[in-house]
Amino acid sequence: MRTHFIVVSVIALTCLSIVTVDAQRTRLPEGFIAEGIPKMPNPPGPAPARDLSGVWVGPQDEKSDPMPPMTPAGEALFKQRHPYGAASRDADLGASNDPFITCDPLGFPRNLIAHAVSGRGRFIFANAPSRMLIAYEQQRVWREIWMDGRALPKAVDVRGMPESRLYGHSVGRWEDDHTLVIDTTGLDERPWLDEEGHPRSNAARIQERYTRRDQYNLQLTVTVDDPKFYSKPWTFMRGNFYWVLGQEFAETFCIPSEGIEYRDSIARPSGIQIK
Amino acid sequence: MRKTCTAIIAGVTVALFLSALVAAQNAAGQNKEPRSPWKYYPEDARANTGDGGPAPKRDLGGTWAGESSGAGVKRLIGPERMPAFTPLGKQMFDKNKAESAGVLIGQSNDPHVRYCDPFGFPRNMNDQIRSMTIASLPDRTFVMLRFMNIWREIWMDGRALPTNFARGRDAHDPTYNGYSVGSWQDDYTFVARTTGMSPDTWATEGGYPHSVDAIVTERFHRSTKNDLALTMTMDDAKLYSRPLNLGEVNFRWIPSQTFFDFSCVPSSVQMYLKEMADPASGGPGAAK
Repeated sequence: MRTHFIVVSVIALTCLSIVTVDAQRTRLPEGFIAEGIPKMPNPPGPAPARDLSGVWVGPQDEKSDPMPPMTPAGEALFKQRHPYGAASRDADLGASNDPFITCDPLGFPRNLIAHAVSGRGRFIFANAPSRMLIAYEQQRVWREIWMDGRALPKAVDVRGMPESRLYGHSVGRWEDDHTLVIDTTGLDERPWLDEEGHPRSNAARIQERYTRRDQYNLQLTVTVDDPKFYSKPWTFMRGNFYWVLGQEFAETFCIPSEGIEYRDSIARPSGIQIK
Repeated sequence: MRKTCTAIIAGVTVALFLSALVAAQNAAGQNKEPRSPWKYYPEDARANTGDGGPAPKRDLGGTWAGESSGAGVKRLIGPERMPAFTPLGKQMFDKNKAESAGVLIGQSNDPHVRYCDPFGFPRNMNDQIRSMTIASLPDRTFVMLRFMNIWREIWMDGRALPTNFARGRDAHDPTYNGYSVGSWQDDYTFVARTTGMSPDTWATEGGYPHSVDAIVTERFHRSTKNDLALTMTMDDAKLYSRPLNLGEVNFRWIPSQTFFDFSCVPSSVQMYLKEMADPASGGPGAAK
């Protein structure tokens, strides 16, 4: 009797598993949900020449050089800024005035620092006449990189010159078949350089070097040169981005009404000081 | 007395002559100011008259000037004024207090006006649509909007639009931009369909609502090199008893391919509301 019960149970479980697998095999995908991601070839193939196409996710293994000493102007501005992370940990540090609390635009290069809960951000390269475009998952923002050989603007926010922009004015060039170099200046000074509130001026020159090491790995190095606020240039970020086989983006917005509601109904009543 | 009047008239005449002279010199100086490739000059865009030649086939790529860009673009045709609301649609519409309907900002509950929340689609294609850049990859087309630097993607890989936005394993989350698919109807007309837009957003500046199941059809028609027209209709049986015409937006090709930045900065809006708009409208906060 006992043996009979075991046999029947095994047969039933086997049938159930077959039915389940069969159901999965015949279920039609509804377009926007990836039906599993196939394994990536390992090792990856060589990097294609002058081609960064695709969706990349990262940064992984993010590192940066120590920040150099700030100039007196940089120090003065930095002292006025109180990051949210510090304010939430220690009320004695004073009220946070991080503009991202109200979902103000992150600006460049702060948007490169992964800001999602998962700690990952995706972006994709596309082309338009005389330009490359970079579309980011964080906040669904985009930048345009002029590839027509033009020089960066010598100044911004003065007569005859363009206005500063939240994501700056950028030019790009291929240094070799696998390295794209982008130079940016003319940044709106309101956004912070990073999560800690360090400043950057509208005359800062920020360089990104994208080196495609192989089919699936893209190395990014970002250097900041801002004599108004820092005593010397330094490597702001170094990290690796991985090619996303599923090639999909999530929609990641910071919604101001939700940010403000969180600030007013949760953060402040809990004792976190926010200006 | 007569000598005094004569002196006054002479003085005014001299002053007018001198101010005209200064204005003429300023204008001459501005005309000599070198053009920066980084700046958008509306007068240059306006000077680009004519069709520019035939439209390239299956190509919408580039930067386009839209409504209120100063480029002399044909005025947009707004959404139809008398939608055929269902009872639920009318109920939802009546709750939306739009600034464009004459409501003071302090009394509006438009989430964009009060907070700078993203417009969402389709409103981001018919409100503040001064410029957009279109770029294509083999499997999708991107529409990069200049206002708030937000982008949309329209998949061209043959996938179907999702239909399930409720709970469940295969349910999709509603999003601000929805889920879009598109294809070429002919060599000059690109048709996109979008669904799954979050019902928290308004379909238009005037507060027309939409459900998550609404399907918006966009027809981009490039008639010449310089001219692009976008027409939109929305099919939302829950809220409208017949498809809603969302109007027509016209675009002109920008020769310099440059446009200025403009965005909505939430902290600036909060400051404006607190210091000016709410006190002027008789009280803080928005009507719920």
